[in-house]
Amino acid sequence: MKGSNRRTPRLGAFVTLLGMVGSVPAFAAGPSGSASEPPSARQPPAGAPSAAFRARELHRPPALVGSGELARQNTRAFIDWAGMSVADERETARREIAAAASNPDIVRAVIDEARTAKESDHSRALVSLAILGEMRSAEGEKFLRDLIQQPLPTTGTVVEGDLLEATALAQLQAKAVAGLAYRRTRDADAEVLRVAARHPSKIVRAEAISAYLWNHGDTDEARRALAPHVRKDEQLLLERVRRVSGESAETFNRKLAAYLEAHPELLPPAPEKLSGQSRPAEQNPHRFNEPPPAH
Amino acid sequence: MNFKQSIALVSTLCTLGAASEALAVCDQSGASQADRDLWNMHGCWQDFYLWQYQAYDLRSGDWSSRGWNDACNVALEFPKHWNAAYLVTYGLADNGAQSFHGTVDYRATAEAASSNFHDSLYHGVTDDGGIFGRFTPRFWPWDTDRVDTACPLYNRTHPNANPGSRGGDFMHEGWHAYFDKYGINNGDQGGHRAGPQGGCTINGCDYFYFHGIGAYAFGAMWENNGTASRFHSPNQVQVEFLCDVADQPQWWVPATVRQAAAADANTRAVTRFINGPGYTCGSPRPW
Repeated sequence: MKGSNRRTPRLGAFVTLLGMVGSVPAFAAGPSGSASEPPSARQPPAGAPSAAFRARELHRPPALVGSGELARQNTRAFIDWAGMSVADERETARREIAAAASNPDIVRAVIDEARTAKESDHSRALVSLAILGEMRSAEGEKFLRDLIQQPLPTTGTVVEGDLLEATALAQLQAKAVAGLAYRRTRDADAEVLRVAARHPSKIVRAEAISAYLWNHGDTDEARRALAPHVRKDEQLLLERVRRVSGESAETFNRKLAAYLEAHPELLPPAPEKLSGQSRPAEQNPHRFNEPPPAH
Repeated sequence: MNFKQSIALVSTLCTLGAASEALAVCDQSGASQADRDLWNMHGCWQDFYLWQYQAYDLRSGDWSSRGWNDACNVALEFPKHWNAAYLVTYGLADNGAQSFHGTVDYRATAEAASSNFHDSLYHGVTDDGGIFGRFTPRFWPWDTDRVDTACPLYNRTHPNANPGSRGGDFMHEGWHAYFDKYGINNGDQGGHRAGPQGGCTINGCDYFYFHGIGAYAFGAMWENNGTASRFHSPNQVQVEFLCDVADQPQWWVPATVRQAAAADANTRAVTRFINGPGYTCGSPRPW
């Protein structure tokens, strides 16, 4: 957001000026002292990452096996690895996840990790839910359904008009509905359609629509089947443009052009210029233009 | 320089600088897995943070109780800030056939230097829990524009406390600086339009100025022709950055960072745009 009131800088600057009488050299150095001392570290810092990158061994996930406590330990180690994994390791992770999907202790351990991370670490919760969705297990589905049905918080931290706790849960529910849609069973699909129609969060409804379409081949038939379930004011979500990793610019641009041609109402108005305010020219432009260190 | 900053500064002078330690209220107990995973890729790279504090014009007085002298402690705000800057600086693939924009665009938006993207700015930090970030334009000619990032981008349990979302906020606030440079009126709700309206569900909405891949050469994101055909809004620049992190990263960007970026992009795409939604990014397949 932008500092909303242009009068406050004027008043603030005046107060500062009064406060800084006798401190002209410090003021000249900038409000917080632009002539900063360099930062420092207490631990020994590292060199360039390139050596560590070269030494890294890819495609070596921890085994997602075992029962009881061993299953829990292995699951935690696997989620650690999966979080760090790179795009090229995607198929390696999928194979390991699919192989573990029939092990109820592993499925339960992933559920436990998702439940714990939901309260403590959003990024780990997303990864745990992604693994659970990829497993396509009956017990995992039950957990995903329960999570989607949890009521959104109504109190908490309001950030820029949005309730942070509600948005956080909605993002996790969106990840859960993607997993549910990936089950591709009649019962799971029925729940995805219900979510697309009636979930209280637009974030979750939009993901339900996108995931349903993707899991049914993005066909017109799927779109027709889904349309009666989608709210009237959200029918546009049925046609939303998806950028698919690996597609060419021509393919994406063709989809976008067709979308905009079908919906001329989406074209925004021309940007507006501010009137009657001139911005003072800056007197001390920041001159640092060194390139970043070689990676 | 705004009123609150001025009061804080006078207060600091009165107490001989002893107040700054007591002011920090962001959660400094740890970092999200996404932050830690990216951190583990560089292991606290000294050459980078010694470059970054100058490129982003970070000032020790703002960051003294937040890791300025503990730059390898990823639980603190300054290390988290430069962790996000590391992602912005090196983490994108710059694929001309698939990326919305290039590193050169995102760096120029985020960094301090005066350019076609904005006048000079510097990066501060605020304990305000009600915002992700804030752009404060200079008033006096000798002042400098300021971008603050806030606790919801640093508190490890919060959904946006990850390198992609933090970098995304650098784009958002940097684009308010762009609007200031070019005299653009984007509304009176903190630099956005009133809402909810259209597809936007909050009070603080933008338009999405759709464009294809390749419509802007890398380095040309700042260009506008005064019409809706060649223009960006703050939330749009943020979503396009997040989508590029999610879908067009360098090979080594960890899954936690990509997934958190996709979740943030897709949330923003359906809640912040009057003529939305914007594009959807990331794959609907769970893994």
